[in-house]
Amino acid sequence: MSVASTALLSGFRGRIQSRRVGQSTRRALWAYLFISPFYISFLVFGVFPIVFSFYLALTRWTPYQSTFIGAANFVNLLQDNLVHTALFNSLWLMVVIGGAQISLALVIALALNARKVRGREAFRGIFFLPYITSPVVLGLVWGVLFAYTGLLNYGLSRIGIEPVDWLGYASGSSTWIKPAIALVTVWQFFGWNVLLFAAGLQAIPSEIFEAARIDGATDWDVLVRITLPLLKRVSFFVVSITIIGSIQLFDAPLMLLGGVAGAGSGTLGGAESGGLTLAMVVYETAFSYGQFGYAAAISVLMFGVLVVLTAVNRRVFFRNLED
Amino acid sequence: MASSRFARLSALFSAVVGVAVLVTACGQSVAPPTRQQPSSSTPGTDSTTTSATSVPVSAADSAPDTELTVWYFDKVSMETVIPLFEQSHPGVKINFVEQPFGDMSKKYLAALAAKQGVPDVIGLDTSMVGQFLDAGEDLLAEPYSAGQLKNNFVSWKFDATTTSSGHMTALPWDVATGVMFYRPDVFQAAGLPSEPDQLARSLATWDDFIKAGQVIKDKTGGQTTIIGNEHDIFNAGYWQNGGTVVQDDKIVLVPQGLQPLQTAVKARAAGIGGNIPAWSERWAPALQSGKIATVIMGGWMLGNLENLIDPDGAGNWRVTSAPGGAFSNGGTYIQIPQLAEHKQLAWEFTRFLATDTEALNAVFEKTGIVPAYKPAWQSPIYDQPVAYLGGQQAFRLMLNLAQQVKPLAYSAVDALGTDLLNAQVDLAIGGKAAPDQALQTAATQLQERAQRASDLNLSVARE
Repeated sequence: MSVASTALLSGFRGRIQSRRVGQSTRRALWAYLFISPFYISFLVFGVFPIVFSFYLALTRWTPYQSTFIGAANFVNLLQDNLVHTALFNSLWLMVVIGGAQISLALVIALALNARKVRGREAFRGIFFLPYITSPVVLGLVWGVLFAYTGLLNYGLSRIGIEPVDWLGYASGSSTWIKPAIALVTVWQFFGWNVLLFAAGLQAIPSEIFEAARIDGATDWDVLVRITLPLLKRVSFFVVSITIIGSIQLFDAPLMLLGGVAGAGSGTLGGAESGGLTLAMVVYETAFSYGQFGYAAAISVLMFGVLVVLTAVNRRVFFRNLED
Repeated sequence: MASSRFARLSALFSAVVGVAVLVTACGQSVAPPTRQQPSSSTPGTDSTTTSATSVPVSAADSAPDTELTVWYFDKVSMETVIPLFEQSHPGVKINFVEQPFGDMSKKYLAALAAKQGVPDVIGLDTSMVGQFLDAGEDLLAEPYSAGQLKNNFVSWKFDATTTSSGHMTALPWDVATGVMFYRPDVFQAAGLPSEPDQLARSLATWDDFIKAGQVIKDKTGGQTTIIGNEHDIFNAGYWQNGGTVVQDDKIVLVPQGLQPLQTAVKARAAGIGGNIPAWSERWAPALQSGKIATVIMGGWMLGNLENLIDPDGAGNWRVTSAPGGAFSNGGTYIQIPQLAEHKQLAWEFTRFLATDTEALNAVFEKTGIVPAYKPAWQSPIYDQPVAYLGGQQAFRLMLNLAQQVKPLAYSAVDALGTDLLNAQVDLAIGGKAAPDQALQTAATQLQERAQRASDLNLSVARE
């Protein structure tokens, strides 16, 4: 083969290669085009609002003005009693709901897993039912149950207990509002946590339990030294979503405390703002009072609280592990 | 092979996009009613037909508005007026968007903040109007000159939306005078007067009302109460004082609310309330069964009682003036937003809504909503007996009371102020705060929050 023909051949190969590169780029472009609707909608409806809310938090944005005011909203919300109350309520609800919900779910999941329970799937289904019911419907139904002369107080009166002013309408007192919200929320979500724990339990190989038994481990030893440590990753997930869900709590308190009647409906979380959560104060500030910039600042605070809590949660769960 | 598959897919994608674009384009070109051929339809035919086939407003006008977007929360009244307007304005199409009562102000706020999707005309309830006073066109200015209409309206209602800078940004549509609906059977059984005039005389003051409440409670062994809860007494008394949150940049919750709150606390001490909040799930059943003897609210409550709360209670209810006198509770204002696109037609429609006696009385006949425009009151329909109220001539009473309401004012922080006030009022009625302290707290909270979040400098009136 002559030098000329070799050169010709290598040039030809080069053209084939560049054509292949061009084809694969074009293919990739087509692929990107086909998956672009998701990314475009995510950018427009997901990323942009998040980024924009950080900017909004630095403005005084009402229907009539939009002025850049720097960190003034954050300085103000540090002194705002309503925001303090909402933050306290949200943290209170997170601790109580988290504690009650996770321990209840864990106990039920262990019971369903360990014993030869008949109709295990049926139980799981029953526990899961409240989770798939609309929160608005739950709020309305529980509102009726919690009424001062409602079913719950009727039941209590039958066993000789004085009626409880669950929602604070009768006495103007907020004493029972947060426990009532916690009760509804735990009832709604514990079934979901049961399911997560059950999945975690089923993932633990049975050989480990059998080996422990052969070595003479008691039930308690198995639970504390094997089951719970091996459930760590699932538990981290459950605690994380419970923290996030509790801090974002909105629909149940809003429905229970009658926040659907329109402007000036006397809400703000019921008596003594006992049921006012951070998400509610963001919503009311923006959409009832038209203070969008300030509402964005409160939502940034909420974001900050969630970041800190989730980081602490991670640290607590995985402090002894490298990952 | 692969590339040809991609080529086919791309062709398919292009075709889908192309069809979508074409469909959208067709939709856009068809949607707005453009100039139509002259119509052969006769006046009085169905509104849809009329608007679709009629001539433009004015052939001389270069580009007349032919389409208007209207937001309101009451379907019946708006759907009564719109056909009448479209008949008298051939070629005009009103796009009525029914908004849920609880959502409308939130949507309007969002639209104003985004400067997008703002309607041409909006009907605002009195609980919402204050927040939007800065959003509307000044109707006292040219070309609206609504000041010329002033003498024909109930004066306090007309003046209430005029801001401190002298702008009037919403026109009254209906006036909702506060009255007392009551169960004559309960009063009779308790040995109290049960005829409207007699009862009004014997319950002239709130002290009289509390005494009557004790009688009813004693006679029924606590089974029946005169009112659902004491907060309702505060509300009525507060509204009788005007129910104003801010007047001339001064928060007036303390002077407006102190005496009504003391009355409500006194009523709680006397135990005359039934611990049943208005609009709660137990309220309607208690009203139906006669366990609550009165409802003290705006006259619009008649329609609610008749259609929603106690539809089987025809003849069980009467109406009279409330203890302590007249007040305003509810009612609608019409606003043309500054961001509206079709202001000329919006003003024609607004004027029609608020001042066309035929339209106003048609709405009244369907809904019982009383117009704020006084010439409409000359109609004999306001003297008709109301079957639901046992044949009582109720509307003249409401019209008379409408003219006795004290002057009041709306402000941008009404919604927030009312929410903060209500929370403190519940505390005071529950005995957890002294009335003056509770009102002072609400006023201070409002002052701080208005300053922090909206840059409004308001002072607090102590007395």
